[in-house]
Amino acid sequence: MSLDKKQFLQAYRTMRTIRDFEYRVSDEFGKGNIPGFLHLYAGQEAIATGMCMNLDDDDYIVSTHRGHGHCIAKGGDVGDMMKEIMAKQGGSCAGKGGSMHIAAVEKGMLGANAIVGGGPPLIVGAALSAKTLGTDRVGVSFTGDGGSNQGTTFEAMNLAVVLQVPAIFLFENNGYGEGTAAGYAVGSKDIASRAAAFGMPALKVDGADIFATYEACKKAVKHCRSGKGPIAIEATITRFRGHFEGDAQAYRGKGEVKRLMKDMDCLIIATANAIKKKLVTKAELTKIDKEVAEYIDVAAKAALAAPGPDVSELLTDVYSSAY
Amino acid sequence: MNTLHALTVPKWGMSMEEGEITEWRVAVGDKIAVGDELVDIETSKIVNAAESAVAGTLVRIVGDVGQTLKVGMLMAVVASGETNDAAIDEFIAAFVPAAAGAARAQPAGTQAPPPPAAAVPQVAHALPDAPVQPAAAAPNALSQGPDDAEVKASVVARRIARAHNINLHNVGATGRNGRVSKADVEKAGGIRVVAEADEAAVGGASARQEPRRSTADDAHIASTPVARRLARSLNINLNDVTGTSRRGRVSKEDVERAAIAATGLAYYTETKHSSMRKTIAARLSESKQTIPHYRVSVDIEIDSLLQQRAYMNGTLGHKISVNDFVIKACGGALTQVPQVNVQYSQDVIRQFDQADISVAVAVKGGLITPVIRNVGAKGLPQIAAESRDLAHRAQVGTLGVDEFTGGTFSISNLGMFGVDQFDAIINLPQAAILAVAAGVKKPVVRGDSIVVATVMRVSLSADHRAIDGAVAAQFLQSVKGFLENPASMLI
Amino acid sequence: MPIKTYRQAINEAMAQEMRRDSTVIVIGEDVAGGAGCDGDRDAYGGVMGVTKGLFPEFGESRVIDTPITESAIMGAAAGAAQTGLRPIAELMFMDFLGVCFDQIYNQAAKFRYMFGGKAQCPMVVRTMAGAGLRGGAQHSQNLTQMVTMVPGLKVVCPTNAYDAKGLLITAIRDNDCVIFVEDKFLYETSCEVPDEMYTIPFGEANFLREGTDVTIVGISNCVNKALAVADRLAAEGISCDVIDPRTTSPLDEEAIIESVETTGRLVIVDEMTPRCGIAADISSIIAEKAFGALRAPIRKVTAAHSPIPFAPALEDAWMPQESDIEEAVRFVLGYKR
Repeated sequence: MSLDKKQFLQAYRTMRTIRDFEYRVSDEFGKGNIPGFLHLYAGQEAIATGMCMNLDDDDYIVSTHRGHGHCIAKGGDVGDMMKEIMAKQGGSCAGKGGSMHIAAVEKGMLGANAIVGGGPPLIVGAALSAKTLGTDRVGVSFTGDGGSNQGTTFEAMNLAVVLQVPAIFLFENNGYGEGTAAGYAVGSKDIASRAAAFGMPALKVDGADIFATYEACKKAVKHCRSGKGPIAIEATITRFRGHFEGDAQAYRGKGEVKRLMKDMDCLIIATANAIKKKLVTKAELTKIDKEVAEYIDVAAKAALAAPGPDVSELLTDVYSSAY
Repeated sequence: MNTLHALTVPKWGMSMEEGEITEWRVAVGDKIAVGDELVDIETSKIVNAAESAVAGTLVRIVGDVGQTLKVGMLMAVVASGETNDAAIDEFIAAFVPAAAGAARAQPAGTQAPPPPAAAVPQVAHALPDAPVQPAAAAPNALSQGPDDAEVKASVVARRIARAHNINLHNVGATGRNGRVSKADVEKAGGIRVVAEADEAAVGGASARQEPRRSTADDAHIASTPVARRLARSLNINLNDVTGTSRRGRVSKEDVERAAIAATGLAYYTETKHSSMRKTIAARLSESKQTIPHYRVSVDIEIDSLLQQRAYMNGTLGHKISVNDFVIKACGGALTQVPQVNVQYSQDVIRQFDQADISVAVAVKGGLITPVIRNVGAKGLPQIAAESRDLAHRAQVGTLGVDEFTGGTFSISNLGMFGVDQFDAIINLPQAAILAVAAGVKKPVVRGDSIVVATVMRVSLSADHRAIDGAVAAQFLQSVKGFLENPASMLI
Repeated sequence: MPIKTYRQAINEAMAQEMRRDSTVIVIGEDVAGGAGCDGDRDAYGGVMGVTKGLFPEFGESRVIDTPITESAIMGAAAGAAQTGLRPIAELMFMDFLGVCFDQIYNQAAKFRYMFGGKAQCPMVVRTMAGAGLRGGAQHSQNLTQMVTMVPGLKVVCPTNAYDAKGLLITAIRDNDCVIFVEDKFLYETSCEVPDEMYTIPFGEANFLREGTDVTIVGISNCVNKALAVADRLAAEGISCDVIDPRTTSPLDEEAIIESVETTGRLVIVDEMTPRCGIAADISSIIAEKAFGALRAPIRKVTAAHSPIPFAPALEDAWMPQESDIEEAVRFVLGYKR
């Protein structure tokens, strides 16, 4: 068993927090309380959780437009995140980033990147810092199957190998890059197999199984921390919601989403596995469900009540010094 | 009385503190006059020459080439009278440099780098710190205070403050990055500095040629010391003067020219009269004042003449000019109408029996009229050869006196300059002169049609005391007859 | 004071900062040269030799040769800057900006602001710009305007060795992403450069010449051409303020406005295309903020609206010439309504 009871409960809580957070912001978005665009991570929780449990606060991650889950898993404050997404004062980015640029810089979450493929080069830089400064930190770039095809991703993977930096390229293949199937857009069909061509090893994992993802990520982190250079992971999963909130997902097969929400729900799978292995009881998990629900509700209400940023904030923090 | 005088390092520009001796123009033992340039000195901004303020002999050089000396230090000794080595030694030993100019307190520790933010690498282009002409205003509260070189201010603000004698310590700074701005200085000084109005455009493109007066410091403009002094006394900024002296330096003459230009008048130089000019002036004044001139003109069609000339030059190998034809025609006309070939004097009219024709030739500095004698007896080729020879020798100045005196009739041809018509002045003691203009293609009426012909206008100026109008007209008809029937000139 | 070239001054700024601060690294293509080869390491020291000598002194952990992958280089530099290093990334030719523009204008420029002031990106992008060396259309551009317009970036364009050293040291110490535009025509020019370290603040223009008749602003090497013209015109009694902004972001607008208030006449020279270049930008600022002071239209002297030709006569005609600058100065001086 890759996770002991304590670890499992922590993992479960994280996954549940992400799930409830995403559904809550979806609700609020539907009510018109959230401006702009929203890209939800619901369904992919086991991947963010499995990786971030293997990371410390001073390890680095970069994420994509679908970044709430990574931010929460890395230790981002849920209340601050809620405020940020709702464009309120006290948001984690002072209301200046929003959902697509959610960040928890102090916890090593270097930001969600709205440019597809924007993250991988950045993480090479973070890993380079770690190597140059002699820390044993690692950097993880969460990228989708869409981002896996970007030139910047290829360049970053090559550079990571050339410079032998501790970077993990974690590809979450949820089957869709916007409205196009990964099976169509990824020419090699298999993202993990590209890694060898760049000169780095790769792991493939079932992204719906927290035990499996935790184990795979643990291997990858160990590989990097021991100075063996970069490594890639391909985690296969699905996303429950559309590319963006409001996406009718007409490109998905009839009944597909409903089916996957039953068959590929990492929380359902985790619960079943853990109980079968007699790791936890249902009651313990239900308790966590209740706590998380309330926690999210409190955060949402606080965010709804908070004021927006003052207009005087418009020109602050463009530069580090007087311009 | 002092016979020994010190030549010291002069102060050029308020910021100059020292200079390097680059070249001595004189040597020990040379005689020196007041104002002579003795030595070249190079500062961080200019190279200029120090002059002598006294006349005498250079008896000792103290500063060597390559040596850098502070302003006021001794470079050489000039003796205005008898002296000896011991006296010179004593003079040098006793020499004390004068206090180096206006003692503007230097901020402590200026030697250390780094240079200030506005430091300019290409120092040749930088202006010294203070304007040459300080503000006329008497010192007031705004001008008091410690040296303000370290006060952060924009370049323009500092410039204006200096020009108006305002110490930057007395100005509240609201400019960019906490520096004193132009607006701050203007506010403190109750002034407003704006560009001049449209009319004072520079560069010669405006209708009113009012020269722009520069106000920028001119200490870096290379000029002779005398020129600089003169410019200062005339309140001329050397930025407004074009330097034409050695190495582009401004000379005294350049400053004088600029001074006159500043008044808006045309610049002039004066040249003394040559004897030729004097003669021309005297003769032609007398002619104009004493002779009752009148003029008669006629247009002559010269197409046939030009054909004839082309044949004679091209096929027969002659070198005959149109003017040669005119000379021949006049010779023939003077035979047909001899009343034009006369001279008037108080008692008698003198009638000549041959045509000696004076031909006006432009030479350097004036004109001269060599004479072709007895034109009637000469054929065109001979006239052409003589006229060419005389003209050439007139240009080089080898004509004999007898070759340009005498003459009974004159011809002046300005056709080569394309003039339509002109009236010549009679050369005393002659009584007439023919002015020949350019032959130009023109429409003329023949029968009832308009055709194109080459038309040359000739004008006869005649002395009415000797020649009456009808005679003059007949003469012109005769000239026209010859020129329009060139075959008649071949005999 | 020692005389150093523009190239040497830039090299010295980097070497001295790298000695002073161990988090400063250099990264780019052939910044040393010879990686993985059988011959010399530090074979190039940069394609123009500007980083020569850094690899032997600081080693491969601080002078990093990369594959030819501008996006990855700039992205890595941005990521490294966010996480404790101070990278000096080299974009070999400014023409290559397009290949990595996202990393610069969308990532590095925006981290601080997008993340509410909690992130910073203290990196320098050193890049080489300028025509005149017959490099052709894709190796000769000056794209200063494309980075000047981006909030969050600072843009520096030194015109002489002294300024280059001081401005680069300031750039390396600055906590924002600074684009350091080196005019490739100037590498061999030289002047006095102190041995010790010094900084020149951003946003402070330098007056290369002072005068009262015309204000001439020049960007990069164009200001040196403007100075040559002004020197010649001085002999005719025309005196000019010749202004080198040194940084286009931040821009010392005030210095230009003040000068125009005293001269009334402005000529701006840059080596960019006529539309949306720095000359166009400064024109609009002055027209807006100093309109009343103007006695003549503002004249821009820029390159031509075409890709840069290869043939020498054509390339020279493409670039702004001293004769163009002189003509513009005379125009504004002679202008009558």
